[in-house]
Amino acid sequence: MSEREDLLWALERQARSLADVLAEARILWRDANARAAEQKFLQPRAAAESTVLAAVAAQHRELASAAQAGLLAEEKHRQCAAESAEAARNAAASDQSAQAALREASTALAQADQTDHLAAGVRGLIAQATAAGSD
Amino acid sequence: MTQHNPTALINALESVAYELRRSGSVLRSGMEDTAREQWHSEEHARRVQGLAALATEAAREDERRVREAEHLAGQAEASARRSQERGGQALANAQAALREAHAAVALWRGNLAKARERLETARRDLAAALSVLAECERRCAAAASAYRACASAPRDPNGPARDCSSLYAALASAERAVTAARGQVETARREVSRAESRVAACSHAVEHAEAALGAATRAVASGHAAVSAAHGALRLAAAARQASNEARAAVNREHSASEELTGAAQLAGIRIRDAAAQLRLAEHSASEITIYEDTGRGEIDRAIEALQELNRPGVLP
Repeated sequence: MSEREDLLWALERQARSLADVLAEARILWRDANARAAEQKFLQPRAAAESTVLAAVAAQHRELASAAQAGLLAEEKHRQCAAESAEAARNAAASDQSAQAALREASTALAQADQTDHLAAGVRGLIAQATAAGSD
Repeated sequence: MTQHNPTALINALESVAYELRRSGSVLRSGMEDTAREQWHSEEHARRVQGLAALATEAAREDERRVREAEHLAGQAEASARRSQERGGQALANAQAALREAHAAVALWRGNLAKARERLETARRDLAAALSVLAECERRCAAAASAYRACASAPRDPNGPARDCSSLYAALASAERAVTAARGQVETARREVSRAESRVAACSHAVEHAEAALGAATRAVASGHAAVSAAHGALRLAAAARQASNEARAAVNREHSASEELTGAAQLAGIRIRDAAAQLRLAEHSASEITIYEDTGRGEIDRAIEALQELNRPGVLP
Protein backbone atom coordinates (compact mmCIF):
# COMPACT_ATOMS: atom_id res chain seq x y z
CA MET A 1 0.00 0.00 0.00
CA SER A 2 1.21 3.51 -0.74
CA GLU A 3 1.39 6.23 1.87
CA ARG A 4 -1.70 7.85 0.41
CA GLU A 5 -3.61 4.58 0.62
CA ASP A 6 -2.44 4.19 4.23
CA LEU A 7 -3.60 7.70 5.01
CA LEU A 8 -7.05 7.21 3.51
CA TRP A 9 -7.36 3.82 5.14
CA ALA A 10 -6.57 5.39 8.56
CA LEU A 11 -9.18 8.13 8.05
CA GLU A 12 -11.84 5.61 6.98
CA ARG A 13 -10.97 3.27 9.82
CA GLN A 14 -11.29 6.08 12.37
CA ALA A 15 -14.59 7.13 10.83
CA ARG A 16 -15.88 3.55 11.13
CA SER A 17 -14.64 3.35 14.69
CA LEU A 18 -16.47 6.58 15.62
CA ALA A 19 -19.57 5.36 13.81
CA ASP A 20 -19.47 2.10 15.82
CA VAL A 21 -19.15 3.95 19.13
CA LEU A 22 -21.96 6.32 18.17
CA ALA A 23 -24.16 3.40 17.19
CA GLU A 24 -23.66 1.84 20.60
CA ALA A 25 -24.26 5.19 22.35
CA ARG A 26 -27.48 5.83 20.36
CA ILE A 27 -28.97 2.66 21.86
CA LEU A 28 -28.64 4.16 25.37
CA TRP A 29 -28.79 7.92 24.64
CA ARG A 30 -32.20 8.66 23.28
CA ASP A 31 -33.43 11.73 25.14
CA ALA A 32 -33.93 15.32 23.97
CA ASN A 33 -30.25 16.08 24.41
CA ALA A 34 -29.45 13.18 22.17
CA ARG A 35 -31.78 14.43 19.50
CA ALA A 36 -30.36 17.92 19.84
CA ALA A 37 -26.81 16.54 19.59
CA GLU A 38 -27.75 14.60 16.47
CA GLN A 39 -29.12 17.68 14.78
CA LYS A 40 -26.54 20.18 15.99
CA PHE A 41 -23.33 18.33 15.34
CA LEU A 42 -23.38 14.56 14.95
CA GLN A 43 -25.23 14.44 11.62
CA PRO A 44 -23.54 17.57 10.13
CA ARG A 45 -20.21 16.22 11.25
CA ALA A 46 -20.89 12.87 9.63
CA ALA A 47 -21.84 14.65 6.38
CA ALA A 48 -18.70 16.76 6.51
CA GLU A 49 -16.66 13.64 7.23
CA SER A 50 -18.14 11.92 4.17
CA THR A 51 -17.21 14.96 2.13
CA VAL A 52 -13.67 14.88 3.52
CA LEU A 53 -13.26 11.17 2.76
CA ALA A 54 -14.69 11.53 -0.74
CA ALA A 55 -12.59 14.61 -1.47
CA VAL A 56 -9.40 13.04 -0.13
CA ALA A 57 -10.10 9.88 -2.15
CA ALA A 58 -10.67 12.01 -5.26
CA GLN A 59 -7.53 14.03 -4.52
CA HIS A 60 -5.53 10.80 -4.23
CA ARG A 61 -6.90 9.51 -7.52
CA GLU A 62 -5.87 12.77 -9.20
CA LEU A 63 -2.44 12.61 -7.57
CA ALA A 64 -2.03 9.00 -8.72
CA SER A 65 -2.99 10.02 -12.23
CA ALA A 66 -0.55 12.95 -12.04
CA ALA A 67 2.16 10.57 -10.84
CA GLN A 68 1.46 8.29 -13.82
CA ALA A 69 1.73 11.26 -16.15
CA GLY A 70 4.93 12.28 -14.36
CA LEU A 71 6.43 8.81 -14.85
CA LEU A 72 5.53 8.94 -18.54
CA ALA A 73 7.07 12.42 -18.74
CA GLU A 74 10.29 11.21 -17.13
CA GLU A 75 10.43 8.26 -19.52
CA LYS A 76 9.92 10.63 -22.46
CA HIS A 77 12.59 12.93 -21.05
CA ARG A 78 15.07 10.04 -20.99
CA GLN A 79 14.08 9.24 -24.57
CA CYS A 80 14.56 12.89 -25.55
CA ALA A 81 18.03 12.90 -24.00
CA ALA A 82 18.99 9.67 -25.79
CA GLU A 83 17.70 10.92 -29.16
CA SER A 84 19.39 14.27 -28.62
CA ALA A 85 22.71 12.51 -28.00
CA GLU A 86 22.13 10.35 -31.09
CA ALA A 87 21.33 13.42 -33.20
CA ALA A 88 24.42 15.25 -31.91
CA ARG A 89 26.63 12.22 -32.59
CA ASN A 90 25.32 11.81 -36.14
CA ALA A 91 25.46 15.54 -36.86
CA ALA A 92 29.10 15.61 -35.74
CA ALA A 93 29.89 12.57 -37.90
CA SER A 94 28.12 14.21 -40.83
CA ASP A 95 30.11 17.41 -40.37
CA GLN A 96 33.35 15.47 -40.18
CA SER A 97 32.62 13.53 -43.39
CA ALA A 98 31.39 16.66 -45.16
CA GLN A 99 34.54 18.59 -44.24
CA ALA A 100 36.69 15.70 -45.46
CA ALA A 101 34.62 15.56 -48.68
CA LEU A 102 35.13 19.30 -49.21
CA ARG A 103 38.88 18.89 -48.72
CA GLU A 104 38.98 15.96 -51.18
CA ALA A 105 36.92 17.91 -53.71
CA SER A 106 39.31 20.85 -53.34
CA THR A 107 42.26 18.51 -53.89
CA ALA A 108 40.52 17.07 -56.97
CA LEU A 109 39.94 20.55 -58.39
CA ALA A 110 43.57 21.53 -57.79
CA GLN A 111 44.68 18.28 -59.41
CA ALA A 112 42.42 18.98 -62.39
CA ASP A 113 43.97 22.45 -62.74
CA GLN A 114 47.41 20.88 -62.58
CA THR A 115 46.36 18.36 -65.25
CA ASP A 116 45.15 21.12 -67.55
CA HIS A 117 48.38 23.01 -66.94
CA LEU A 118 50.41 19.94 -67.89
CA ALA A 119 48.23 19.36 -70.97
CA ALA A 120 48.81 22.97 -72.04
CA GLY A 121 52.55 22.36 -71.59
CA VAL A 122 52.27 19.24 -73.77
CA ARG A 123 50.69 21.27 -76.55
CA GLY A 124 53.40 23.91 -76.16
CA LEU A 125 56.11 21.25 -76.55
CA ILE A 126 54.33 19.81 -79.60
CA ALA A 127 54.27 23.32 -81.09
CA GLN A 128 57.99 23.67 -80.31
CA ALA A 129 58.63 20.32 -82.03
CA THR A 130 56.74 21.53 -85.07
CA ALA A 131 58.67 24.76 -85.08
CA ALA A 132 62.01 22.98 -84.63
CA GLY A 133 61.20 20.48 -87.39
CA SER A 134 60.19 23.25 -89.75
CA ASP A 135 63.56 25.06 -89.46
CA MET B 1 -32.90 12.24 30.16
CA THR B 2 -32.70 8.47 29.59
CA GLN B 3 -34.43 5.28 30.60
CA HIS B 4 -31.18 3.34 30.95
CA ASN B 5 -28.62 3.02 33.64
CA PRO B 6 -26.88 6.42 33.89
CA THR B 7 -23.53 4.83 34.56
CA ALA B 8 -23.69 2.83 31.34
CA LEU B 9 -24.78 5.92 29.46
CA ILE B 10 -21.97 7.98 30.98
CA ASN B 11 -19.53 5.33 29.83
CA ALA B 12 -21.02 5.33 26.36
CA LEU B 13 -20.85 9.11 26.10
CA GLU B 14 -17.29 9.18 27.38
CA SER B 15 -16.41 6.67 24.68
CA VAL B 16 -18.06 8.93 22.11
CA ALA B 17 -16.14 11.95 23.45
CA TYR B 18 -12.91 9.95 23.31
CA GLU B 19 -13.53 8.81 19.74
CA LEU B 20 -14.47 12.31 18.71
CA ARG B 21 -11.17 13.63 20.07
CA ARG B 22 -9.31 10.79 18.42
CA SER B 23 -11.12 11.39 15.15
CA GLY B 24 -10.20 15.04 15.31
CA SER B 25 -6.58 14.15 15.90
CA VAL B 26 -6.53 11.55 13.08
CA LEU B 27 -8.27 13.96 10.75
CA ARG B 28 -5.83 16.79 11.47
CA SER B 29 -2.90 14.46 11.02
CA GLY B 30 -4.44 13.02 7.85
CA MET B 31 -5.07 16.48 6.41
CA GLU B 32 -1.49 17.50 7.15
CA ASP B 33 -0.22 14.33 5.47
CA THR B 34 -2.43 14.71 2.44
CA ALA B 35 -1.45 18.40 2.13
CA ARG B 36 2.18 17.29 2.23
CA GLU B 37 1.45 14.70 -0.47
CA GLN B 38 -0.12 17.46 -2.51
CA TRP B 39 2.94 19.66 -2.04
CA HIS B 40 5.31 16.86 -3.06
CA SER B 41 3.21 16.12 -6.11
CA GLU B 42 3.14 19.79 -7.07
CA GLU B 43 6.91 19.93 -6.70
CA HIS B 44 7.23 16.85 -8.91
CA ALA B 45 4.86 18.33 -11.49
CA ARG B 46 6.84 21.58 -11.53
CA ARG B 47 10.06 19.61 -12.01
CA VAL B 48 8.51 17.64 -14.86
CA GLN B 49 7.25 20.85 -16.47
CA GLY B 50 10.77 22.27 -16.16
CA LEU B 51 12.10 19.12 -17.86
CA ALA B 52 9.54 19.57 -20.64
CA ALA B 53 10.66 23.17 -21.19
CA LEU B 54 14.32 22.10 -21.27
CA ALA B 55 13.55 19.23 -23.66
CA THR B 56 11.65 21.58 -25.98
CA GLU B 57 14.59 23.98 -26.00
CA ALA B 58 17.06 21.12 -26.57
CA ALA B 59 14.96 19.77 -29.44
CA ARG B 60 14.89 23.26 -31.00
CA GLU B 61 18.68 23.54 -30.67
CA ASP B 62 19.17 20.02 -32.06
CA GLU B 63 16.90 20.89 -34.99
CA ARG B 64 19.11 23.92 -35.75
CA ARG B 65 22.24 21.79 -35.43
CA VAL B 66 20.88 19.06 -37.75
CA ARG B 67 19.85 21.65 -40.33
CA GLU B 68 23.41 22.95 -40.32
CA ALA B 69 24.72 19.41 -40.81
CA GLU B 70 22.25 18.84 -43.66
CA HIS B 71 23.30 22.10 -45.29
CA LEU B 72 27.00 21.22 -45.02
CA ALA B 73 26.35 17.71 -46.38
CA GLY B 74 24.53 19.30 -49.34
CA GLN B 75 27.47 21.61 -49.98
CA ALA B 76 29.84 18.62 -49.82
CA GLU B 77 27.69 16.69 -52.33
CA ALA B 78 27.57 19.62 -54.76
CA SER B 79 31.30 20.24 -54.42
CA ALA B 80 32.08 16.54 -54.92
CA ARG B 81 29.92 16.42 -58.07
CA ARG B 82 31.65 19.53 -59.43
CA SER B 83 35.06 18.04 -58.73
CA GLN B 84 34.02 14.79 -60.43
CA GLU B 85 32.91 16.67 -63.54
CA ARG B 86 36.02 18.86 -63.54
CA GLY B 87 38.33 15.87 -62.98
CA GLY B 88 36.69 13.99 -65.86
CA GLN B 89 37.20 16.96 -68.17
CA ALA B 90 40.84 17.34 -67.13
CA LEU B 91 41.50 13.62 -67.62
CA ALA B 92 39.92 13.70 -71.11
CA ASN B 93 42.03 16.76 -71.96
CA ALA B 94 45.18 15.01 -70.75
CA GLN B 95 44.35 11.83 -72.69
CA ALA B 96 43.84 13.92 -75.86
CA ALA B 97 47.18 15.63 -75.23
CA LEU B 98 48.79 12.20 -74.80
CA ARG B 99 47.39 11.05 -78.16
CA GLU B 100 48.67 14.27 -79.76
CA ALA B 101 52.11 13.73 -78.19
CA HIS B 102 52.23 10.12 -79.42
CA ALA B 103 51.32 11.33 -82.92
CA ALA B 104 53.99 14.07 -82.78
CA VAL B 105 56.66 11.60 -81.64
CA ALA B 106 55.74 9.19 -84.43
CA LEU B 107 55.72 12.00 -87.00
CA TRP B 108 59.08 13.43 -86.02
CA ARG B 109 60.77 10.07 -85.60
CA GLY B 110 59.60 9.25 -89.14
CA ASN B 111 60.86 12.60 -90.43
CA LEU B 112 64.20 12.04 -88.67
CA ALA B 113 64.60 8.64 -90.30
CA LYS B 114 63.89 10.16 -93.70
CA ALA B 115 66.37 12.98 -93.04
CA ARG B 116 69.04 10.48 -92.07
CA GLU B 117 68.41 8.48 -95.24
CA ARG B 118 68.72 11.70 -97.23
CA LEU B 119 71.98 12.54 -95.46
CA GLU B 120 73.40 9.12 -96.23
CA THR B 121 72.49 9.55 -99.88
CA ALA B 122 74.01 13.03 -99.98
CA ARG B 123 77.21 11.72 -98.40
CA ARG B 124 77.40 8.90 -100.95
CA ASP B 125 76.82 11.42 -103.75
CA LEU B 126 79.60 13.64 -102.35
CA ALA B 127 81.99 10.72 -102.20
CA ALA B 128 81.18 9.85 -105.79
CA ALA B 129 81.62 13.48 -106.88
CA LEU B 130 84.99 13.64 -105.09
CA SER B 131 86.05 10.45 -106.81
CA VAL B 132 85.05 11.85 -110.21
CA LEU B 133 86.91 15.08 -109.44
CA ALA B 134 90.06 13.17 -108.52
CA GLU B 135 89.92 11.21 -111.76
CA CYS B 136 89.34 14.37 -113.75
CA GLU B 137 92.25 16.13 -112.00
CA ARG B 138 94.51 13.15 -112.67
CA ARG B 139 93.53 13.19 -116.37
CA CYS B 140 93.95 16.93 -116.50
CA ALA B 141 97.44 16.63 -114.97
CA ALA B 142 98.33 13.96 -117.53
CA ALA B 143 97.03 16.13 -120.39
CA ALA B 144 98.94 19.11 -119.08
CA SER B 145 102.07 17.06 -118.81
CA ALA B 146 101.63 15.78 -122.36
CA TYR B 147 100.99 19.23 -123.69
CA ARG B 148 104.02 20.72 -121.88
CA ALA B 149 106.19 17.91 -123.20
CA CYS B 150 105.00 18.67 -126.73
CA ALA B 151 105.41 22.38 -126.36
CA SER B 152 108.89 22.18 -124.85
CA ALA B 153 110.38 19.48 -127.20
CA PRO B 154 113.43 20.70 -129.25
CA ARG B 155 112.45 22.02 -132.64
CA ASP B 156 113.77 20.21 -135.85
CA PRO B 157 114.54 22.90 -138.29
CA ASN B 158 114.25 20.43 -141.11
CA GLY B 159 111.25 18.72 -139.84
CA PRO B 160 107.66 19.63 -140.11
CA ALA B 161 106.25 22.21 -137.72
CA ARG B 162 105.20 20.82 -134.36
CA ASP B 163 101.57 20.31 -133.88
CA CYS B 164 100.48 20.35 -130.17
CA SER B 165 96.98 21.49 -130.89
CA SER B 166 95.37 18.14 -130.21
CA LEU B 167 97.17 17.94 -126.88
CA TYR B 168 96.08 21.44 -126.11
CA ALA B 169 92.51 20.56 -126.97
CA ALA B 170 92.74 17.49 -124.72
CA LEU B 171 94.14 19.64 -121.95
CA ALA B 172 91.36 22.16 -122.35
CA SER B 173 88.79 19.39 -122.32
CA ALA B 174 90.37 17.87 -119.19
CA GLU B 175 90.32 21.25 -117.49
CA ARG B 176 86.63 21.68 -118.30
CA ALA B 177 85.94 18.22 -116.88
CA VAL B 178 87.75 19.21 -113.68
CA THR B 179 85.74 22.39 -113.45
CA ALA B 180 82.52 20.44 -113.95
CA ALA B 181 83.54 17.84 -111.37
CA ARG B 182 84.35 20.58 -108.90
CA GLY B 183 80.90 22.01 -109.45
CA GLN B 184 79.39 18.57 -108.79
CA VAL B 185 81.42 18.26 -105.59
CA GLU B 186 80.29 21.67 -104.43
CA THR B 187 76.67 20.80 -105.12
CA ALA B 188 77.05 17.51 -103.27
CA ARG B 189 78.63 19.29 -100.31
CA ARG B 190 75.75 21.73 -100.11
CA GLU B 191 73.28 18.84 -100.21
CA VAL B 192 75.15 17.12 -97.37
CA SER B 193 75.04 20.31 -95.38
CA ARG B 194 71.30 20.72 -95.96
CA ALA B 195 70.69 17.08 -95.05
CA GLU B 196 72.71 17.49 -91.87
CA SER B 197 70.68 20.56 -90.95
CA ARG B 198 67.50 18.64 -91.60
CA VAL B 199 68.68 15.77 -89.39
CA ALA B 200 69.55 18.24 -86.63
CA ALA B 201 66.13 19.94 -86.90
CA CYS B 202 64.31 16.65 -86.87
CA SER B 203 66.39 15.53 -83.88
CA HIS B 204 65.35 18.65 -82.01
CA ALA B 205 61.73 18.08 -82.98
CA VAL B 206 61.94 14.49 -81.72
CA GLU B 207 63.41 15.71 -78.44
CA HIS B 208 60.55 18.17 -78.00
CA ALA B 209 57.97 15.59 -78.99
CA GLU B 210 59.43 13.08 -76.54
CA ALA B 211 59.38 15.73 -73.82
CA ALA B 212 55.75 16.36 -74.74
CA LEU B 213 55.06 12.64 -74.43
CA GLY B 214 56.59 12.58 -70.95
CA ALA B 215 54.59 15.61 -69.89
CA ALA B 216 51.43 14.09 -71.34
CA THR B 217 52.03 10.89 -69.40
CA ARG B 218 52.36 12.96 -66.22
CA ALA B 219 49.20 14.90 -67.17
CA VAL B 220 47.23 11.67 -67.56
CA ALA B 221 48.49 10.45 -64.18
CA SER B 222 47.48 13.79 -62.69
CA GLY B 223 44.05 13.51 -64.32
CA HIS B 224 43.58 10.03 -62.86
CA ALA B 225 44.57 11.42 -59.44
CA ALA B 226 41.98 14.19 -59.86
CA VAL B 227 39.27 11.66 -60.74
CA SER B 228 40.30 9.44 -57.84
CA ALA B 229 40.15 12.38 -55.41
CA ALA B 230 36.73 13.31 -56.79
CA HIS B 231 35.52 9.73 -56.20
CA GLY B 232 36.82 9.98 -52.63
CA ALA B 233 34.96 13.25 -52.20
CA LEU B 234 31.75 11.66 -53.49
CA ARG B 235 32.14 8.71 -51.12
CA LEU B 236 32.70 11.03 -48.14
CA ALA B 237 29.81 13.25 -49.18
CA ALA B 238 27.55 10.18 -49.32
CA ALA B 239 28.70 9.23 -45.81
CA ALA B 240 27.95 12.78 -44.65
CA ARG B 241 24.46 12.57 -46.17
CA GLN B 242 23.84 9.20 -44.53
CA ALA B 243 24.89 10.54 -41.13
CA SER B 244 22.80 13.68 -41.54
CA ASN B 245 19.78 11.52 -42.48
CA GLU B 246 20.30 9.50 -39.30
CA ALA B 247 20.61 12.74 -37.33
CA ARG B 248 17.36 13.93 -38.94
CA ALA B 249 15.58 10.69 -37.94
CA ALA B 250 16.89 11.04 -34.36
CA VAL B 251 15.84 14.66 -34.06
CA ASN B 252 12.38 13.80 -35.44
CA ARG B 253 12.04 11.13 -32.77
CA GLU B 254 13.29 13.67 -30.25
CA HIS B 255 10.59 16.14 -31.35
CA SER B 256 7.96 13.45 -31.01
CA ALA B 257 9.16 12.44 -27.53
CA SER B 258 9.39 16.10 -26.51
CA GLU B 259 5.78 16.68 -27.57
CA GLU B 260 4.67 13.62 -25.60
CA LEU B 261 6.71 14.87 -22.64
CA THR B 262 5.04 18.26 -22.85
CA GLY B 263 1.62 16.60 -23.08
CA ALA B 264 2.34 14.40 -20.07
CA ALA B 265 3.65 17.37 -18.07
CA GLN B 266 0.54 19.37 -18.92
CA LEU B 267 -1.69 16.43 -17.97
CA ALA B 268 0.17 16.12 -14.66
CA GLY B 269 -0.41 19.85 -14.07
CA ILE B 270 -4.14 19.50 -14.76
CA ARG B 271 -4.41 16.49 -12.43
CA ILE B 272 -2.47 18.36 -9.74
CA ARG B 273 -4.84 21.35 -10.02
CA ASP B 274 -7.86 19.03 -9.79
CA ALA B 275 -6.29 17.36 -6.76
CA ALA B 276 -5.69 20.78 -5.20
CA ALA B 277 -9.39 21.62 -5.66
CA GLN B 278 -10.34 18.36 -3.91
CA LEU B 279 -7.85 19.13 -1.14
CA ARG B 280 -9.38 22.56 -0.62
CA LEU B 281 -12.83 20.96 -0.41
CA ALA B 282 -11.53 18.40 2.10
CA GLU B 283 -9.82 21.12 4.16
CA HIS B 284 -13.00 23.20 4.19
CA SER B 285 -15.02 20.22 5.39
CA ALA B 286 -12.32 19.32 7.92
CA SER B 287 -12.52 22.85 9.37
CA GLU B 288 -16.31 22.41 9.68
CA ILE B 289 -15.72 19.14 11.47
CA THR B 290 -13.47 20.92 13.95
CA ILE B 291 -16.26 23.38 14.70
CA TYR B 292 -18.82 20.57 15.06
CA GLU B 293 -16.46 18.69 17.32
CA ASP B 294 -15.94 21.70 19.58
CA THR B 295 -19.71 22.07 19.84
CA GLY B 296 -20.26 18.34 20.21
CA ARG B 297 -17.69 17.85 22.90
CA GLY B 298 -19.25 20.67 24.92
CA GLU B 299 -22.70 19.15 24.54
CA ILE B 300 -21.52 15.70 25.50
CA ASP B 301 -19.55 17.01 28.43
CA ARG B 302 -22.65 18.78 29.68
CA ALA B 303 -24.72 15.64 29.18
CA ILE B 304 -22.15 13.63 31.12
CA GLU B 305 -22.16 16.21 33.93
CA ALA B 306 -25.96 16.09 34.04
CA LEU B 307 -25.90 12.32 34.20
CA GLN B 308 -23.29 12.35 36.91
CA GLU B 309 -25.45 14.78 38.86
CA LEU B 310 -28.39 12.41 38.53
CA ASN B 311 -26.23 9.51 39.48
CA ARG B 312 -25.17 11.06 42.78
CA PRO B 313 -26.67 9.30 45.86
CA GLY B 314 -29.83 10.95 47.16
CA VAL B 315 -30.84 12.43 43.90
CA LEU B 316 -33.97 10.84 42.51
CA PRO B 317 -34.13 10.05 38.86
